[in-house]
Amino acid sequence: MELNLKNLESHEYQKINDDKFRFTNSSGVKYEVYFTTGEYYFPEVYYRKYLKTFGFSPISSTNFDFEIKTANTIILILADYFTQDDYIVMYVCDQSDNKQSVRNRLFNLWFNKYNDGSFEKIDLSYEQHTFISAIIKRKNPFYIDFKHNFPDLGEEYK
Amino acid sequence: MTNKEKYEMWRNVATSMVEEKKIIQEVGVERAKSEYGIKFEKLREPRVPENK
Repeated sequence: MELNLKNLESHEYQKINDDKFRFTNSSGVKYEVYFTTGEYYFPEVYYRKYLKTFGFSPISSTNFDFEIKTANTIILILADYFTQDDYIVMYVCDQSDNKQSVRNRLFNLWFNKYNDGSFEKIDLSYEQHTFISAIIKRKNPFYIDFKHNFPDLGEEYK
Repeated sequence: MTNKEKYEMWRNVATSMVEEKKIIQEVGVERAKSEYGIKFEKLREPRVPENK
């Protein structure tokens, strides 16, 4: 993502085996960050190869410590990924500890803080239990077609 | 596709993504790749952040 990313305090991160990034935060907690292919979720759309999923998790602790440098590091990794091609990045909030709604609010805060308006985040929730979001650049050539895939958010479904 | 159909389509996507995430968290990236066939994207080298 653009904006406010210069001079952002972050942790150093390394690429491990070509398919994940790893860093250690100030409390010694190791995080892994990865992207998986998203094309199988929408096998019929012509831009499916640009669909990716994004995830990260601590691997050395079950305690989440979202210090600002951890958040900055994750954001820098994500922002850099978007510079590489016309990717559309989807993610779901981890549900394993039932804190998904807290995560959802936190990720909304991060997005609003770091976005300069050039990105859009589209959110859907299901029974306040499952939260899925997609981040896309407004100038992405697939922007209109991708948004067409979403329900009109003015309507509610239970 | 109706709005409702789109909403349900994304429900299915979300459910599958949650499952995938669970697998990765439980077994790690390497086993998720080799045993569950999850396809991870090839990453480029980290960029050195700009400093003051």
